[in-house]
Amino acid sequence: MSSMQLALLAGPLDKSQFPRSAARVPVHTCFSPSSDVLGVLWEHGYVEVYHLRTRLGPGRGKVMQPTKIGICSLNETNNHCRQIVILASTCNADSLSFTTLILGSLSESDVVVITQFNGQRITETGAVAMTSRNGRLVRSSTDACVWEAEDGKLFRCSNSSSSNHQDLISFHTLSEY
Amino acid sequence: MNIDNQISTPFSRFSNFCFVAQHVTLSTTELCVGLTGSGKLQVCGGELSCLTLASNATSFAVASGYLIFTTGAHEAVFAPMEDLPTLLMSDNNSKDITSDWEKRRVERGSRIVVCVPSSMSLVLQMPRGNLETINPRPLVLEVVRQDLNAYAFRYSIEVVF
Repeated sequence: MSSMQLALLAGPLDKSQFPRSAARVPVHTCFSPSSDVLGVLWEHGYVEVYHLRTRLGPGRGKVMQPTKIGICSLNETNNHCRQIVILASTCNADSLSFTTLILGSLSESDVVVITQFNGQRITETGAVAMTSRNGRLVRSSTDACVWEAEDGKLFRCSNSSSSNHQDLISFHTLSEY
Repeated sequence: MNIDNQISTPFSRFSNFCFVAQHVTLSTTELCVGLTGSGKLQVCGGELSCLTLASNATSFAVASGYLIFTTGAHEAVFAPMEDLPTLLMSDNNSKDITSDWEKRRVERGSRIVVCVPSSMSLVLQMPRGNLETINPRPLVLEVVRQDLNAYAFRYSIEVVF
């Protein structure tokens, strides 16, 4: 029994977004820490983002009126995505924008794909190859991107122009692979 | 984020892999809190060492300036976040600091679902799956403190009564 159900895959399926062999069930979902947004990730790199419009106050009517505000199919990681994290968003009356991190795997290491929602569509803006496989993204209440390696080491993705290069161990971006 | 200059840098480390972890930014520093599969609740940050706060933790949440965690001893512990950097830097006074933390008995096997700072409530899942809400004293006092600082004396009294 549930008071509200969000029907995923309700619309007609796009074959380019859903290959025949792809799993129909999402592999991971997450909420935004600062707004009423839900991100849904499928294993082969398809992402849907919903604005839930949850009703918190008393009264009659639906408890939420979700609307799909964006979709995205990742290019780099074909079929090994496993975690999605939405960073703190900026939500105005007219627009909603946020950054989404998606964790996937390459043959040698994990990869964090970064997408941005600008109020109208989701665009894939880049990717960072990490040091090893089998890591996890760490959720954050701020706009920080933290990845945990298999041995417990924590890495933070940051802009190299604001850091001291000599103190840091930097890794190749995905485009250099 | 400038993706063209995107790099990943070592930040800190847990002593074991934590399947559930959270990054928290404080006024002076930033910390990561993680829970291992064996129930170790770990805290680490920046150049600070990694510290195991509890070895029998079952769940945790960060809200209202507190790290709240449940233990296998059927307790919910409220650790002020501002205490954690001090605790990480010196292990000598750790027992003095942790003994001052507020604790509250909870039902056996309870796990934290979510903490709602605005309503001063902590939602727990019982072993049978039912959800129960409690209003722990530290969360209520935090709201009262905020009201007093904002000179909203009437609201602060209404919260208490």
